[in-house]
Amino acid sequence: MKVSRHWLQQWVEIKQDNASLAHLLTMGGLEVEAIEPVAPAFSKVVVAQVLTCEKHPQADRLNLCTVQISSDPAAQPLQIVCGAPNVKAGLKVPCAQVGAVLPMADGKTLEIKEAPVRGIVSSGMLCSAKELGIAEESDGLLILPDDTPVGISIREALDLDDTAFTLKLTPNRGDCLSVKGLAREVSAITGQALKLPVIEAVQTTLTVGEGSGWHPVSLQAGNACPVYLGRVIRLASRPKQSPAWLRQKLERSGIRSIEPVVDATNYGLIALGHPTHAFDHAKLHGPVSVRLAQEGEQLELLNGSQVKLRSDSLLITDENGPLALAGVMGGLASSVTEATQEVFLECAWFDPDAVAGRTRHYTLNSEAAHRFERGVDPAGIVEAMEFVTQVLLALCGGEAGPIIQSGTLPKPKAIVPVRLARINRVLGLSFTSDEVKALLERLGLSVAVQEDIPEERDLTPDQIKQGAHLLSPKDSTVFLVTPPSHRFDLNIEADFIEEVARLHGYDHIPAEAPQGELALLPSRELLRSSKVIAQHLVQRDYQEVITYSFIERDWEKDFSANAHPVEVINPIASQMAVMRSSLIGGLVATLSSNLKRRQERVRIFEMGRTFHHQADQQPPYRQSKKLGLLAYGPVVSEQWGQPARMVDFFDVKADCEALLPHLEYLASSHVALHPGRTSVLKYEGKIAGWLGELHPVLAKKYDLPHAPIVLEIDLDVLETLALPRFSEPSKFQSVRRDLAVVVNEALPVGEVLQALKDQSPASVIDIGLFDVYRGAGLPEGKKSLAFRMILQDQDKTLTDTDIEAVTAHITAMLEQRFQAVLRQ
Amino acid sequence: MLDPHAIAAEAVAVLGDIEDPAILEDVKARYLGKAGSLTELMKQLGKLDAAERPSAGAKINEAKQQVEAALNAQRDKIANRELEKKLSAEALDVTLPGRGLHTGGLHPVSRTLNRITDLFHSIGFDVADGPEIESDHYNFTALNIPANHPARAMHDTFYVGTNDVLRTHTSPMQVRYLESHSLPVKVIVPGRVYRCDSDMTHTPMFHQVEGLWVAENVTFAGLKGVLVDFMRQFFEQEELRARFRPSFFPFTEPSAEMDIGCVSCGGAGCRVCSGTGWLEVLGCGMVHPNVLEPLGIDTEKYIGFAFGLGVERLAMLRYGVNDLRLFFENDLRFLAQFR
Repeated sequence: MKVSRHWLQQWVEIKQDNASLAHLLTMGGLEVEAIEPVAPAFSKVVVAQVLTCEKHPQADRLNLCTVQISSDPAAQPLQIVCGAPNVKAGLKVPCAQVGAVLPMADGKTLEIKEAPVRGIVSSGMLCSAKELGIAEESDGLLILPDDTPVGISIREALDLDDTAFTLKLTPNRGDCLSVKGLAREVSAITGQALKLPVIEAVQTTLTVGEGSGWHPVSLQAGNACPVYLGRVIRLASRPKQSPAWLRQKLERSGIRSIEPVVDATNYGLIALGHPTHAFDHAKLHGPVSVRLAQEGEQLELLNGSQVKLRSDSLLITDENGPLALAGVMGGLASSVTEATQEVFLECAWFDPDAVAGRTRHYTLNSEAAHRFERGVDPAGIVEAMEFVTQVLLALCGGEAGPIIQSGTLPKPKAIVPVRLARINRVLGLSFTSDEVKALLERLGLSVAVQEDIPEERDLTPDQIKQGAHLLSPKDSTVFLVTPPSHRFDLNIEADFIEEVARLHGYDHIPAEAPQGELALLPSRELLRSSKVIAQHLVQRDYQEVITYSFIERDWEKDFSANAHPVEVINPIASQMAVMRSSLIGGLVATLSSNLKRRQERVRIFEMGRTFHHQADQQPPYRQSKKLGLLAYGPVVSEQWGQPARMVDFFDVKADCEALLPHLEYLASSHVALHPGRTSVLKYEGKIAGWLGELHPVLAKKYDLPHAPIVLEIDLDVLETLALPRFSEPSKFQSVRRDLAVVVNEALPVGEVLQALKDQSPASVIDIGLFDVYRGAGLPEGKKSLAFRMILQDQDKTLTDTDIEAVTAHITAMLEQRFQAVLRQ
Repeated sequence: MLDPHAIAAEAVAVLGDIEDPAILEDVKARYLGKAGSLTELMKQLGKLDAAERPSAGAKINEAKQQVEAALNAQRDKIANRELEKKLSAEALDVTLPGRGLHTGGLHPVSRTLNRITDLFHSIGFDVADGPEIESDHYNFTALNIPANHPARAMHDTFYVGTNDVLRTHTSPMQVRYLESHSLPVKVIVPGRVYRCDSDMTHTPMFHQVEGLWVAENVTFAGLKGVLVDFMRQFFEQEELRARFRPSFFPFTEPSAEMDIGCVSCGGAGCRVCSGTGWLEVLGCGMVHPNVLEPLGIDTEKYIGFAFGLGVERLAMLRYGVNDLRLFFENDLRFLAQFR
């Protein structure tokens, strides 16, 4: 919403300068986004009259003019050379005097000097609107109305010392989308006097009624349109353009001037906030009605778009079908044209719900809908009708018919009780009754105060229990407030509490330490937060990244073999079309973009949600939190102290084991991973994630010189910790025994380790693999595994016999389960 | 008989020049060995008169001790020299960089989120987490934003189903949390949110932290107190100015927008604050009865306040980042600056 200060000033007293006014509005909830002068700074430009105009003797395109710039007709005229095509004797135009400084488009200025032009001295310059910086383009001198007084400053003549305020209004303040509304608001905030114009009814001389093609409008949409005013206006003439004063008013409100009929309705809209619509009366056939659309009905709108109507759209129709999308936009067929002699002016009230959201559905821009969906004052319809009629008659001449009303105004809103004690409790203040009443009355509200003071002896035990005996008499004050018809945001007590706070000033409410019960927060020792997990990975030289949750469709195929990802219906770009079901794609893309920036070592992780359909379940989406991790390049940064080695599966496995020791790793296959270098991660028997080397085909597809190692694991598995349990360390000596066995190459070592862990006697307190050997001395297809065992008994020192019994037991077990042969 | 002192003096002189431990042992044998000159003198003691023997023996012993002392001293000297040589050969260039892994770093958004959650946790706010695909009900309707409400146009919503959206704010968790916890509640909800908007100052995904406190003694003055305190602690500026302006959110009433004095110019006006001296940092207000009442909450007994702040905005202000989009480009050279 854009408003001119001078216009606003006509309707409300303003004592503040621009900056203070903007501050007051902003702090009152109407955020001022911009304060701009309507014209750039310049001086010494006055209204001049061209007295004579002849061809310049030395230049075909130039004219030599004598120009009067003084209000005294006897004063000596100036001689000015002028190149404008539209200059002629008699015109009133702006004249920059010698010494004037004019703005230039590039921010520089131009000083007017007395100088010869093709041999003849020119004592000034006649100006176009562009040369004064008040229009983007001009095709000649700015021609002023004939009644403009000669000699006055052009700034005064055109009211150029005005300021335009641009406000960013919140959707609840539809009542401020007009000069009248803003004037009312300025008065409420400052307490300064409102000076709204009195709008009187026009004389109706045109008779229209039954027999002359006029039918009352039939309202068939119930509460969506309870009242409709219509009036026929016969126009005497159709000027092509509105007068300068109207064009200026509209332009300073951010509305482009079109032609007088449209301008008149827009003027009403800006001035009073009430949209009206002018139909070409000759193009209406039969009775006009207001009804909901039938699904699929068609209407070609004023902006040329053809819309297929949805059944929740309110229409103005005649016997031939839809005429206009009610409260949104008129139809092209019934619109006013140059040939229009008679207009049918509509001023109706549409319920916000009947208009809200329709512009979004049909992708339209409409000042009218913008107001109706936020709420237009139903009590203002007659005033708006008269205002626009007056303007139309002033612009075009002619005569108006009577206002014909169909339906009745919606019922006024119910009185709202607002309790003083509640205001003070919610805000944390201690207002008195008089203070609140004064604030509410600034809104022009009708406020009745009810002081119902219970005596303490009259209280019931229940009331005392609730603390009623602590109330002072003022606490029981209730204001009975009638919400004004123009405020669609004032309906319940809380709304009025906001008004009181707003008018009092949020800044005058103290910032206080909050009060509440002091209690320790629960601390769950067995829950490791993602924050701690992230810190852990950071210590292991991984950098956290955050990638978008919506990704390319291809990534879902490549990294998850997912042909049916959760789709974004209205993606912002095709590469953000589906929701990820894996974090790996984002990590690979991050790797790829960093390789292009010549990073050779990339170790990254991300924690975030993945999204999966879960058919026939509620909710229909599974949104699991995962950790994704990727390592690429040298295992440590290239350095003097360690030979370079590329990171491999077991490096990342160690990182994973450090995070969570009790995972089970099993050879498996995954669409995105190298088939021989893939491990599924199981936790308590359930799949918790994957670890492996990226499939070489994908590495090639994503331009990666080497395949990175990637890990993805459910975060809730990582978040689960076990409570440590104490066991007493043995006091007896421990013994180490090494054991080497030969097994088949295909036997996974993990199975042997698990068997050793599960089936060793209690005296074996630790088992570790310290060598895997293949080659000389071993048969083809065999490998040797060397284990370190630490033996220790809780109750005694182990004897050689004890130790041999244990190793014999273990050897036998390995032989029996894995056909392992003790290596000599 | 030779003078034992003269022999000792000779031996001491010889020993003092020896560098090689083997030669040292040879020289020792020459004086103290079985055929050494002092040993020989000792053997000759028997030939002396009994009266001379004690004094002559004492002299020889004295000489032997001198030689042994010199020998030991020279041994130590050699050993020390060897040790010094060895140590000097073992010396490291301590200025060489350390070996092995270094550390990574958190994303600046996480770093900021941690800071925010730590501050609120310190006064007893629980930290909760919620779904990012939300139903229309939780994202809008339950927050007093009915279908077609103009406020919906302020949320450029991504849809994944007819009634399912990518949450446009963290506020749906207000409702979810109240549904699953008994009063009073005091919680913050950090998380990702989505809006269909992408330009210099918008990314289609960003982070918010929602705050909610519903209890018997909650007031607007308390809301101001908590948030002013938070901003001062977050920016570590005790004197940070703050102001609250009336605003509109369908799920709070009264609603406010909070501005802080520009942390870049201190309020004088600069590019960061568009010359106004103020920075808009969050939206807040008292929870609307239309949110609480459908949940069966007695609004006569309980009052709530809520707020929502933009994490990237705070991160940019705190660390001086000038382009929002950097947060999601994941350029390691950018991210490494926040270690």
